[in-house]
Amino acid sequence: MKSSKKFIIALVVLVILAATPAFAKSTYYFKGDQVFSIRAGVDFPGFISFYKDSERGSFTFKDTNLDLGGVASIAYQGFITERFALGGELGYVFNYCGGKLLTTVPLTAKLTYIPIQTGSFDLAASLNLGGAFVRFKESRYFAPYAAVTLTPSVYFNDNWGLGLESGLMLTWEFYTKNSNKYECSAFCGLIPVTLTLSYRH
Amino acid sequence: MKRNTLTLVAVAILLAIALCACNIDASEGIYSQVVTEPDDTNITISAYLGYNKDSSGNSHYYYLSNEGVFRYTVNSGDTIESSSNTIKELFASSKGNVIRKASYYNDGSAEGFLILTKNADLSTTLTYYAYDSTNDNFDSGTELEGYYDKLLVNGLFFGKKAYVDSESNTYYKYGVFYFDGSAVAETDIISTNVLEITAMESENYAFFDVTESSEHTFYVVDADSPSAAVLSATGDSSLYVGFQHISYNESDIYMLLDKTDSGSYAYKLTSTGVESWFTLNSTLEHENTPQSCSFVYDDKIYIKCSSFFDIYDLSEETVTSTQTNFASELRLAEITNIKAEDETNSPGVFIVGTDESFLYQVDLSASPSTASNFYL
Repeated sequence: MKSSKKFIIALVVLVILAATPAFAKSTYYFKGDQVFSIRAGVDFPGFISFYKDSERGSFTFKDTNLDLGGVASIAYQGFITERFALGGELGYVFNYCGGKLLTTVPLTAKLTYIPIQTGSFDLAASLNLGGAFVRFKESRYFAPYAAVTLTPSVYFNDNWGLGLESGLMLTWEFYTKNSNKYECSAFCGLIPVTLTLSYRH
Repeated sequence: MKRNTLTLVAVAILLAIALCACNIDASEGIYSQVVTEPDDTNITISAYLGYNKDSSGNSHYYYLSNEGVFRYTVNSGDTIESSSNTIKELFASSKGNVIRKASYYNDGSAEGFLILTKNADLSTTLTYYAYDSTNDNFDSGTELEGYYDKLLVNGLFFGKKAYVDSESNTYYKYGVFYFDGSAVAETDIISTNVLEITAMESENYAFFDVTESSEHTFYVVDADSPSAAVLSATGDSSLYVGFQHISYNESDIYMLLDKTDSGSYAYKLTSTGVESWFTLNSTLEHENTPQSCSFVYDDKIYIKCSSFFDIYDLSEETVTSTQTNFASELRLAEITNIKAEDETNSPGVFIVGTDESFLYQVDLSASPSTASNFYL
């Protein structure tokens, strides 16, 4: 089995475990609590799929022609229940391709579910939805964007915590049937691995 | 209530962003460009110069880059993608002695390079360096007398040459010249008046737009028999961006390409002038930049456009476009020139010089056609 598949399975298992009642008994947060977080790290090329062009199909990992990239973001969220926090995130993602820069700037709403929250340890699953400015050479595009991430975090005191975050960032370049670029419609999936510094109060 | 309102606003913003997400200015699919973007080699190929095969069966490819003239050698039995291929610098470009243009000369008996350099005083010098096959090196060079501004890859050059009349007075002739293996010789594009010349080339052929006293004349010269132009016609002042010689049904066609705001067009140059021919499906890459970006194989003309290759079928008289097979590798490359590797022994195989991605070998005789990057 490829290491990437193992990684995805491990993520899924963690999410399922996190959702079980045994892990989800107590809560630490209250409605109205707030979390500000900064994350930075790397992103691995996952896939580029031309779902309207069967001749080209999908390119995975190294075949995407993308090199290892970087990702950084800032996020602010408020708790709307004891386990759900809602807010927004502004990110910056870059990858090199043939020596040229591909940049993605996602601006998203972020919903986070925290099934495990002990005060010193959180396990959070987040869903981001929004749009992303994508630029490569002279071409620009504003694309629908989604991300699913899982973040185990350790808190050193009441306010500050450090987590490791990973998941999938998905950008959708879509064209209608009337467009001469219809067959260029594509999904691009990137896999981030970042450190997340959080401040809560 | 306050929390519910906040949630509603957040969801509304999220939906608005997602629904408004749309194409701003992607001239082509961004991820389509990403998957086919060629590697940046940091080597700018100014021109692919030529090819020969030595007595041991090793293939030599000559090119001019931003650093000078080089020889890329593929040993007998290896391919262009082999890691054992070697590169040798033949002539280095340096400050005060910048190699602007070069031409590989091989007439069967003499072999060498014409090198046009720009000097520290901004003048230019054209020098012929003869190859010594015994020692695998070049002589110290023979400077060709004259003031030449431009040198084409096929060996034609233009500028002015000094002559001495019967009373020992020096005068100049302006025009197009060539090297005959020992000295500078004249074509019939010559005048004692100052000529303004622009040129485009296509393999052994070259198109010249010559302006004399505000009158334009178009010439086509075959570098294999350059003493007289094969065609001349009065022209207009349009600045064409492409030229291609086509041999079809035992006749010669001279194609000119033009890019305007309304589209890209092909014309035929004949002795009576320029005739409209066909309209390209796609848009030519360059405007007002003379560029050789087309080639011919199997009765089809392949023309490099911004992200497609347009194909004109000479028998069907139709235009189609492709970005698959060989074109998928090259469609995003900035092509500097294209030459047949060896039309006699390997028809359909072309060598392509690129601005950032080194050299490619295109094989149109393969099914499907391929484009492969030379190993670096």
